[in-house]
Amino acid sequence: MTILLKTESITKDFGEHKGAFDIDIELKSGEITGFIGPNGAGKTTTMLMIAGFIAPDSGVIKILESNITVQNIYNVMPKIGFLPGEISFDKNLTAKQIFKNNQSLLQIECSSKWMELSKYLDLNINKKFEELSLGNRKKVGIVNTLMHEPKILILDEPSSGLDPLIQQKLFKLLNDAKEKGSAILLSSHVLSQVQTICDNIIMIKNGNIVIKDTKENILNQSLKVFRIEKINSVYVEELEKNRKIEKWEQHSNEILLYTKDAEGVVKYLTSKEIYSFYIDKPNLEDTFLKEYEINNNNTQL
Amino acid sequence: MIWQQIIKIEVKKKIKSCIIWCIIWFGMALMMASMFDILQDTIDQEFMASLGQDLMSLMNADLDYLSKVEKFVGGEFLTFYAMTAGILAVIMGVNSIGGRIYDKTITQLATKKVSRTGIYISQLVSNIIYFVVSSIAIGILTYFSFYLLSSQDSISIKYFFNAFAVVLILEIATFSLGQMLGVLIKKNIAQSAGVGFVVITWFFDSLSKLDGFPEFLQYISPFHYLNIPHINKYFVLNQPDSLVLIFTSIVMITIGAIAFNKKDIYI
Repeated sequence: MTILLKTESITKDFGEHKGAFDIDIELKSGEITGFIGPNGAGKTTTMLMIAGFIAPDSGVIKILESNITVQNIYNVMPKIGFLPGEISFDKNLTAKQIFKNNQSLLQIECSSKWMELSKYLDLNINKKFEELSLGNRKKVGIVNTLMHEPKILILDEPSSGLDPLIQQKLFKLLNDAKEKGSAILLSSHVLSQVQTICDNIIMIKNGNIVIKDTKENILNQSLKVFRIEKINSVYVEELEKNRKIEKWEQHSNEILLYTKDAEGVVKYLTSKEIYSFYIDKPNLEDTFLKEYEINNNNTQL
Repeated sequence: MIWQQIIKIEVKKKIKSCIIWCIIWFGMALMMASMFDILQDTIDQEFMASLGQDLMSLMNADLDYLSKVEKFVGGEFLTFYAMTAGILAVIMGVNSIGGRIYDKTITQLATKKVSRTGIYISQLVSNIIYFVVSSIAIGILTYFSFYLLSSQDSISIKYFFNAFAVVLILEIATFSLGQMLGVLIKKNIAQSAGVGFVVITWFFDSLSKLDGFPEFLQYISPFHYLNIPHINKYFVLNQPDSLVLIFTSIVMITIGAIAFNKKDIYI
């Protein structure tokens, strides 16, 4: 698959260890990359650097094989769709006027596309922007971003403020764009959504990328949870001592064992003639939260 | 060209505000014009002389102040029109880039195939169009107000042309100042600083004509370079003074455009 966007060690340092540091990202045609991390981790800073709003202190951004700076990014702008986290347009304009203005600035005839998208997202295009609810403002932003069918989409929390039905429609639109060969980078705090639609995941924390892999690999390497109703505490301690499990939790009617080595734990349990246990299907939410717990513990140590 | 589209969109957005601005000053012109004959009948030269040279200078007036419409316009109308136009221009300047960064609408321009310089210049040009159109409209309306309501037989078109041309230059200069400040510092601070500068330097220019007031202060005031007494006397603008305003504008535009080219836009 073609690499449409690549960053090489881009850094923006705001001081006091705030910003984004040594960020390496590759966006390939026909792939959706989820960009996740806690608030203030550096997601928006990274996206603003990629979209040409903030100049990196160091590093290189390549879009469609051209080296990009704040000064020359406008040359590739027609190929990019950027949706900022906070949507803002001239408040006195209707959605229709906003789209017409955007179309004339893009110099691309796409009136049928923005009409189709507005209808699909159930957006009243005759209302002034200031009269629209938060969710409908988001829809204006989404239509505005997708109307020229860009090759690269940079979306900062695109689903926030949307009702579940519209969120589903948005994901359908993003999947369509992916099918047509667009490369998509989207940030979100809703990890279940990221798990559903993304092919790759990038986790960022304190300005540094902590995990970057395909969704499959991350889930395969993530902590599996064994739920066991009855187990001798000696076995649990032995598992922990032998580093077969990362940690364990005692609940009222079960014990949870967290492990990366599911096979090893199964072998151990069966050797002790324990056959009654359940293994939870890993999900990104657990993985993400647990990875952060581990990272936090390591930082504290 | 996309920057032409930006100008078109920006000009379209300003039509309403331009019409309101022209109506306000048309109303002012009508009021002034209707006062001219009354003041001419009730205030004689002796009273004017009793005001003293300093006070008359403050008003950009002389002993013939009420004898001619042109001098009355220079003394009563132009001074205040220039100050309010300067304030409006500096606010529009701050809002053109700084305001758009502040309210995040800059995204709509910064995501198009137009350079940062193109954005900066297109904002400047669309506002210059606003100032040119409003100056022509207000100039013509003021001329006809005095032409119809005063008893003076003929009023110099040349005077009105030069007087409104020099205010137009001042508007461009104060707009350039606002635009530059909007890029260099935060919007609210830029707006306060810009408006404060216009108002304070307007007073500097006026007060510098009084004995004992530091004369050098008038040179930092853009209103000094309007040189209304020169227009009142010769009916033409003072070219060297106007060139100072134009040159200063070019310098501020250049600084602002360079700074905007490198600026990080946090949205």
